[in-house]
Amino acid sequence: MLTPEQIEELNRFDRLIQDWAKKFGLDCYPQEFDIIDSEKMAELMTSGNLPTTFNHWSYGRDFEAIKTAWRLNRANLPMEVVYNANPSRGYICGTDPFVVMLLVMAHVYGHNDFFKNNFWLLQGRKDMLGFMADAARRFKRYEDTYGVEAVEKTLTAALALQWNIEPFRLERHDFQEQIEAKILETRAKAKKDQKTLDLKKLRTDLEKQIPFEPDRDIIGFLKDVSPTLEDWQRDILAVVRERAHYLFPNFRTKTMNEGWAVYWHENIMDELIKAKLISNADRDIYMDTQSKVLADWMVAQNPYWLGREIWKHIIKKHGLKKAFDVRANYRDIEFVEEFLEDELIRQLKLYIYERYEDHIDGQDVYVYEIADKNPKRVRERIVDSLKKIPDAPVIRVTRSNFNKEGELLLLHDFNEEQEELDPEHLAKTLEHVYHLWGKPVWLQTREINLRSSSGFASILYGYDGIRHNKLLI
Amino acid sequence: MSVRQQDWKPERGEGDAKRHRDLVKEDVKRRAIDSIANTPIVGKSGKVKVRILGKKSYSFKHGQSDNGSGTGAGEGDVGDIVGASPMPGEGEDGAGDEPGEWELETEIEIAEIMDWLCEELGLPKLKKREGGQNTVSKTWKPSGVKKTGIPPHLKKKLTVIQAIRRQAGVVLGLKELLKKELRTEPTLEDKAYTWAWNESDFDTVKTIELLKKMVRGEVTPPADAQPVMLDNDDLRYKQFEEITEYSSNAVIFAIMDVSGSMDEEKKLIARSFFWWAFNFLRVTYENVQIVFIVHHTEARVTNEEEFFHTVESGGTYSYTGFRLAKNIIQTDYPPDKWNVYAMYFSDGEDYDVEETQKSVQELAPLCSALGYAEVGGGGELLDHLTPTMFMNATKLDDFVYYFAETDDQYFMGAEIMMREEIWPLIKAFFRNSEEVE
Repeated sequence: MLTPEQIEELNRFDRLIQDWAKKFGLDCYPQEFDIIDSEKMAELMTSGNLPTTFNHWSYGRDFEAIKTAWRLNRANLPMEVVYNANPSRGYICGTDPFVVMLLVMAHVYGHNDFFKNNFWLLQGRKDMLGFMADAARRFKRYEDTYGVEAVEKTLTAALALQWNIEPFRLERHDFQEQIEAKILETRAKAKKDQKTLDLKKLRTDLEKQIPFEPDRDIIGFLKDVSPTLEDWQRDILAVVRERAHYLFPNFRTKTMNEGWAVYWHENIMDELIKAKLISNADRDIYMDTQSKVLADWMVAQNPYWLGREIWKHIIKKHGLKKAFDVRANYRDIEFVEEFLEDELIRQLKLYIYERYEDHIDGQDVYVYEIADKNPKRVRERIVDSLKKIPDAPVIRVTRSNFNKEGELLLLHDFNEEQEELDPEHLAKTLEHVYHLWGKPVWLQTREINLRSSSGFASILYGYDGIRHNKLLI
Repeated sequence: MSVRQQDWKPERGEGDAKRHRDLVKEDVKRRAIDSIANTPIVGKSGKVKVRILGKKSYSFKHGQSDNGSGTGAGEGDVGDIVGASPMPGEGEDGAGDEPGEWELETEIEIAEIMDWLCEELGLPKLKKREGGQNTVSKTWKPSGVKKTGIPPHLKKKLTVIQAIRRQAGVVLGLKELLKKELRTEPTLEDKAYTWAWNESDFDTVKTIELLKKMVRGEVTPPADAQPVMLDNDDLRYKQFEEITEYSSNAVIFAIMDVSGSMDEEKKLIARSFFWWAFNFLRVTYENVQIVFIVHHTEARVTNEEEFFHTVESGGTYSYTGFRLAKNIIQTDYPPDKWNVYAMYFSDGEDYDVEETQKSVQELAPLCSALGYAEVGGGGELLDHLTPTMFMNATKLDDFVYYFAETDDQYFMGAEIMMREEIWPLIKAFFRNSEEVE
C-alpha cells in the first residue's frame, strides 16, 4: 500500500504531466487513475478488455494463465491498463517503482488523446463501462432464472462468433422493411400486369430468402432471425456484438495507439528529467524499463516499438501537424502501408524470418532465420499480421432456408483471403452456430486439394446437432 | 485528486477461474496427481499447485499457414540465425503454439482434491465395506436364537423342548398305530417309542414291528435310551449381537526396495502414491499412521526423509520387507484394532522369489489391502506373484492390473511405467471397496 504522502506526490506529478501533455498539444478527456495490486491488474488484463464485464470461464482461464506467465517470468509484470471511455480510466500497479508509475501516467495521457481524437475510436460508445456493468447484472439474473450452464452455453457460442461482425457498421439491415419494400414492388408489378397476388405466400417466400444480400454480421443475423432463441439469449448476442464493435477499432489501431503513447511518454519524461524532478537512480530505472518495453525483436509482438518508430518518421519527415492529422484519421493498416516506407524498413533493419525445428545440446528448439529483407514483402507481411488482430475471416450468411429445411448456410470468402480456415476451430464453432440457430448449419469454404485441377476444392462442412459432415462439392 | 488508491480484490477473476477449473476438472485431477510428486507425505496440507491445459475457446479463424514465420528487426543478412527458443514439448512448460491452448497453473485445495478422490473411489461404499471389516468387537450381548452356531452356544433346554415338541407328535401317532395293530392299549413308555423310531431310521412300518417285539418282550430298549432324540433341525443356539465400535485407526505400510536400480523417478512415483494414499485414508479415518520400511538384503524402518533418499547396494530380498511389516503389524497394529494397508514398490528384481511368495501369503490376511507396484518394467516379481496369489488380470480404463480378492483379503499388483499411472494405481488399490455390494 502506498502512503498518503506518496499518493499526494503522484497527484502532484499527475498535474505536471497533464500540463506537459497540454503544452505538447495533446487533447485529452478527463483522466482518472486507480492504483491497484498486481492480482487485480491480472483480472483487468483478462476481462475481455473491459473492467466491467460478465462472468465467463475464459476470463478465469486467462486470469490464471497470465499469473502463471508472470510467475515463470514468461511475461513482464503489467504496467498499466487504460480504457477508452469518457472520462478515461487508467489503472496503475501499486507495486511498481515510483518512476514507473510516472511513466505509466505519461503513457496513459498519450492513449487518452488518441481515444478522444481518432475517428475510428470515436465510432465506439463512450459509456461502454456502464453498458457492460448493466449487461453483467442482467446476465447474472439470467443465470438465476435459466441456470449457469444455459447462460454459459449461449455466451460461449456468442463469444465464438464475436468477430463475425461487419466491422465499423453497427446498425442492422431491417429485414421486415426490406420485405415490405419487395412486397410493394411486386404488388405494383402485379397491378400493372393485371395479375392476382397471394400476399401471404409472397411474404412467406420472401422471409425464406433472407438475407437478400450475403450478411457478414453473423452474430447480428442470428440475434435478429434465429428461430430458436429466447429474448435473454438475443440480449446476450446483442451485448457481445456491441462489445465487439467497441473493441474492434481499438484492436485495429493498436500499433498507432501504443506507438503514440510511447512517443509522448518519452517526451514528457524527458521534460521531467530536464527539470530535475526525477533522481538519477529513478532515471536509470526508467531507462531500464523503457528498453525492456521496446526490446522484443519480433515486430508483430512489439507495437510499442514499431508504432513509435513510424511516428518518429512521420514527425521528422512531415512535421508534427501531419502526425496529429494521421492520429485522427488512420488505422494501423493504412498507417503501415503509407508510412512504413522502404527507406524506413531498411533503416529499422526489418526482415521476414522463418522458423525451423532443430536439435541443439540435446534439446528440441525453434531456430529463427532471416529469410527475406525485401521492403515491399516485409511491409506486406506486417500488414497481413495486422489484419489478424483480431483474426476475423470473411464469412457471410448466404441462406437461411438451405436444403429447403430452414438450414443455415455460411460462405467463407476464400477468393478474398486466399487462406484456409482452421478445420478444428471450424467444426467446433459450427457447433456453437448450431446452438444459436437450432437447425443444421453449413459452411462452405475451399481447401488446398492437389487432385483438383485448380489446386483447390470446395468443401461443405456441416453440423446437425449430432454429426459433423464434410462434403466435397 | 485524480489518482486514488483502491484495495479491490479480483473477485470476478477468481470466480471465473473456479468455474474454468470445474470445466477442466478431469484434466486437473490427472495433473494434480502428477504435480503432487514432490510434496512431503506427512504433515503438509493446504493447497497444491497444478499445471493444467486451459479449455480452448473456439472461433472461425485462419489456419496456421505461416509455420511460425513472422517479421523481426535487427542486424543480419538473409540466412543468418537471429534467435532460438525451446520447443514446447509434451508436458513441457511452454504455452501451446496455438493461441487459446493455454497452459496455466492453478491452485487447488487438497481438501477439494480429496473430495474428488472420495467421489472417484466411491467412499460411501468403502465405508460400508470397511464397516464390516474394521469393526472391533468390544462385547457381546445375546439377542435371540438361531439354528446354526458353535457347540458352546447351544441352548440345550430350548433344543430339547424343540425336539420334544417335534417328537410328541410322532409318539402320539405311533401309539395310535400300535393300538390298532394290537387291538389293545400298549403299555410302553414314551421313550420306547422314541428309541424305536430312532432305531428304525424313522421308518414307520419298521418302528411298529420293533414296538410289537418290545411288547412281546423280545426286545428291550437299552437303559440309557434317551427320552428325546435330537435331530439337527431341533438344535437351537444362542444368538449374540456383536457390540462393535467403528475403528478409526488406519496404518499404511510404505515398503520400498532401495537397491541401486530404484532411481529417483521411480521413487518419485512411490512418493506420489503414498502421499495420495495417506491423505485419502485421512479422509476416512481419524487416526492414520504411516510406517516406512526400506529393504535391500534386509529390511528396516525409516523416517520419511530417509525412505525416499536411501540408496543401498547389494542384493535384493523382497520378503524381508513383507516379513518386517508382518511383525510390526502383529506387535503394534493388531488388525482387530487397525485397518492395515500396505503397498510395496520395487523394480521387480528379487533374489528369493519363493520366500517372497510365502511372505506375501502371510501378510495379505492381516491387511485390508495389500498392493505391489512394479515400477519401470523389466522386473519379474509380479510374474511370479500372479499365479501364487491366484490373481486375475483386469482393466481400469487403460490401466491393467492384477488382483485376488476373498472375503477377508485383497491383494493387487501392477506394473507402473509412468507418473500418469499413479491415479489408476490408487484407484485399483482402493478399488476392492467397490466390488462389495
